[in-house]
Amino acid sequence: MSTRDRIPRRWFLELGVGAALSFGLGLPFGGQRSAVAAKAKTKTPRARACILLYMEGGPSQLDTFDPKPGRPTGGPFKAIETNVKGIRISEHLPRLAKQMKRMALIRSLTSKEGNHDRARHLMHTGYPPQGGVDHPAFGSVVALTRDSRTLPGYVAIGGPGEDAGFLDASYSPFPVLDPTKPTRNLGYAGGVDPGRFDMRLGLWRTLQGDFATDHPGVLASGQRSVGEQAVALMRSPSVTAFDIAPEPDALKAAYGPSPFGAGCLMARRLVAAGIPFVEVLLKGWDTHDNNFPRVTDLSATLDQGMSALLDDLAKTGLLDTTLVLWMGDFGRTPVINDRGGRDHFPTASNIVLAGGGVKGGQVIGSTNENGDEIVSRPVSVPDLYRSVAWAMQVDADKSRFAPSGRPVKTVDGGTIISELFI
Amino acid sequence: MRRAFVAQALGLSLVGCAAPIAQTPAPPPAAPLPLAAPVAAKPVPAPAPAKPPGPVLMTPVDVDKLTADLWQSAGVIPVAVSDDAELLRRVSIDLIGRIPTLEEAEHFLADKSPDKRAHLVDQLLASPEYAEHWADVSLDLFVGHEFRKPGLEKRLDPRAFYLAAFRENRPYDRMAREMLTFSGEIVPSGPGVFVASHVKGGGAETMASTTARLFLGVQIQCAQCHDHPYDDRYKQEDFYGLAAFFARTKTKQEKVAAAPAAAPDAATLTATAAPSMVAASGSGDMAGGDAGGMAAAVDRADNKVYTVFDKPNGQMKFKKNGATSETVVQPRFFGRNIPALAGEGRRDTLARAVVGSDLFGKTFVDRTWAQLFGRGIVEPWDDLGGENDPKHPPLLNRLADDFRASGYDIKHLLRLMVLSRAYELTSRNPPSASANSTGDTPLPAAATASRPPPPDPTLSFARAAVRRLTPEELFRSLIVATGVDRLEQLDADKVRKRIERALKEYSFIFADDEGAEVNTFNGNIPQALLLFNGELTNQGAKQRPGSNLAHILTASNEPATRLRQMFLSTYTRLPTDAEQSRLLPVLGQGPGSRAAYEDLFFALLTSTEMLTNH
Repeated sequence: MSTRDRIPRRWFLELGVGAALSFGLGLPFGGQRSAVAAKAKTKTPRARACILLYMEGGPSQLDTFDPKPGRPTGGPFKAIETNVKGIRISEHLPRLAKQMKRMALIRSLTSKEGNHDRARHLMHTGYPPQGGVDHPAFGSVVALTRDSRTLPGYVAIGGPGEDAGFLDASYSPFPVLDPTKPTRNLGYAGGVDPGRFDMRLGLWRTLQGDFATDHPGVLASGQRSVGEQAVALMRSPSVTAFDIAPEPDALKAAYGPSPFGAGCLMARRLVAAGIPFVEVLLKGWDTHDNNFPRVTDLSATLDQGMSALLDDLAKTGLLDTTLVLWMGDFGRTPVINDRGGRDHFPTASNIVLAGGGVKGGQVIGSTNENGDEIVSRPVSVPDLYRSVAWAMQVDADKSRFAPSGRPVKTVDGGTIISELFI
Repeated sequence: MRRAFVAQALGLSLVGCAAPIAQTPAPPPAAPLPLAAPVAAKPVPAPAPAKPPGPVLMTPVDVDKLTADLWQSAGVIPVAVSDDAELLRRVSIDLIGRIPTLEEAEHFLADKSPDKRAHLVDQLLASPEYAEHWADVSLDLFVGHEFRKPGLEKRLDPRAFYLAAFRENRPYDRMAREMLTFSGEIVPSGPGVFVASHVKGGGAETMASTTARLFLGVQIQCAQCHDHPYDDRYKQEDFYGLAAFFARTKTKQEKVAAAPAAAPDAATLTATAAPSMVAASGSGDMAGGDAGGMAAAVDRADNKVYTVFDKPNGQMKFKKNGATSETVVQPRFFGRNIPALAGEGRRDTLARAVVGSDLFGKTFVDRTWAQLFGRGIVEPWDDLGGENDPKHPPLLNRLADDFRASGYDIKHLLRLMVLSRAYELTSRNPPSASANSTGDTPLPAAATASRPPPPDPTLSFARAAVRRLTPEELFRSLIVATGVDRLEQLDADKVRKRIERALKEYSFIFADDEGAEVNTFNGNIPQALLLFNGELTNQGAKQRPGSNLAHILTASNEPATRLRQMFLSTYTRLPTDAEQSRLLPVLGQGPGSRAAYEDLFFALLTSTEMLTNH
């Protein structure tokens, strides 16, 4: 795969970074020679879990975390002060503004992928889609490298998430479609009690054994093993994490009535139960028309759910070891189109990180006054994932083999954004 | 990548789909010739012109000679031929997308006529469910998920195009041309969604890689970003040359006044648009009746019109690696210039080149073979290499030549494949083989003392592969096995809604990687949970008025008969002696034994033998 040749060259040319940074040298973080890396060497990764808040459709950076009030591209929203002097965000995120000390904003993420499918693949896997290799979601790699016992390693709430690509399907996200209700099919069907289920399971095992004897191959044995894992999950005491009902009403109210809020609450329960990667989807950010009313509504949902999550993680002592990552498909155009919308803009978008050893209260990178160009500290998706991998203690340079025999690293190139971390 | 939800239309069409084939008023035994004649029940709008006496086409015996050569060179001896029950199950799933009903199985097993397998194949190919199944297959293959969103899918119904095509056994070259050259307003049942979904999903680049992969079995998309690293056949120029055929193709959605507009509003295209440009493109080869005739029926409840159109000009440009400026690329078909004929738009020219390539027939043959045998003659079917590749084996070349000679007659090709010896082989391990042997018998010449492990016979089609059912196949099969679509004492509308909901869940949970390799296991826990605890299997295993289990338990009081019918309804085979002696003691005759039958039926429904084609 010549991506390894291609991406570095591309970033060198287009981001104007270069000589000081090392790309794809195959060295672990501690072994890199650059000054930046040497400084970060003294830092300690501490994230045990990651909660990805994924904004499907591509959230408008100018109307959330990189406001340009008063500029022709700024739109009608005002910017408000946060609890960190000098950092201002959209007026529609008042609760998050009070949590700025916990959050790091990256205002300079840049990519080339302006198509939803391609961008989602990039943002979930760290790789642009390429023929020949079906890259696994980063969450699937986390699931592969962590022992979550009977629980799935990657759960996607509110949507399918991104699959395990060429990794074993058991690392694909476990889907929770509606977090406001108990997760479907995790409990016994009506009229079936554990005793009756055991009867059925006994017969099922007999039939599985017969078929496997007559039909060699991995299909029968794999099916049996997955069936047993499903039963183990159903009967695990931790399975209650998949239902938010036991939470106090006041806490549920704090997260808000939206499925996204409920998803954030379930994410906290899942992380507390030992699941290392949880994705919560908030859909509807593809605001080609009517951007401002739609972003106002979406912001209210986001603001309540995400700020409640950060508070709750802090109160339960999980924030220090849980990396919260907010991002979406791409940014949106500074130019407001004639339908009051904003179109796709991969050139500049925002990332928010909190917890898991992230140094809050800072902004990394910046755009110009109209938001149409990055003027400092451009960050690539591989930079982001190399950083997240470091924080999560996942080996970014580990190669795994795709079916074609091609070795594929966890992260291809990129440099750790060392100032992100404590 | 995950597939989108399957059409709601599928759920609707499922209700009552299980009319047993054997009970349909005896369809005229499909005449073996003329092969291109439509077999659909409905009149066909554009009858195929009467064919002059054509070339002599292949028969299944010709396929057998070619597979025999394959086995010889691979050093394997094929396993035994399947018994009737095994074959019935396999060919039913492959041709109509579901297992046979209990009645169909009993009827076929009781049939003593010597040519019953050929007759079965004719019946299946003539069944309305044949087109339903292949429409599902084509929808998943061709329509990008930009247009698989529930609302859009329901409105534009892209599946209906494939349904109509398979109903009339439309020649595959015509289908391909219709899909590639469509221009104008997308109407329900029309071919327009193919181009629209991929253009919307990723522009000319995605159209190029999709066309190359699906119609030509070529993986050219790597060359989008760089010259192919391992295969020097495809350069970046080749990729962009192919993309250039689509450089002017756009899709849009616009609100219109009540009056329908068949052609896009020229003024919105470009300020300098020449007046003559759009209408000409592509429509010449269209099935005029299909597209034009349906346009009037469009339900424009939301006053939205979706259009595929070609701008009068526009160029493909790309920046070669290392270059500082962009280069304009002219349309080229794998490096060849294809001069446009008079009146042809770029996509018309491309369609002509695609259909003219030897890879066009080979790709369809290999994909179809892969679908029926678990792996392609060249594996995978969407990476065949290049045109006229000398490495393509005779089996592929001969079948592709024959497919072309038949006028791209899909039913003829399917008949050749499913009546071949290779297709009839069993998937079972020979009883003599040890537990972990792959089950082949070495040729005497190869039987030396220290030889490497024997080759896997499924690799050379010397034993049938075990294949996962697709979500649609599994769902249809579970419906047929349980009879939940025929429950009594329930409002029909309620039943239909439940089935639709269940289908949605199965499609989502069982959505798989297209082209996942056979004999690799990629099931997951959510699937197992859906089967163990989901509504369809749990309701379907109940003895309640109208359900299959109720039918079986009412028909006989004899546990052995009941067991036999439960096996036939799910596995399409009789229980072995060992199974009978193990399972009969669990069952009983008294009223208290109902739970035991339900439990066994549940276990049958959720076990691997039910979930696979073998």
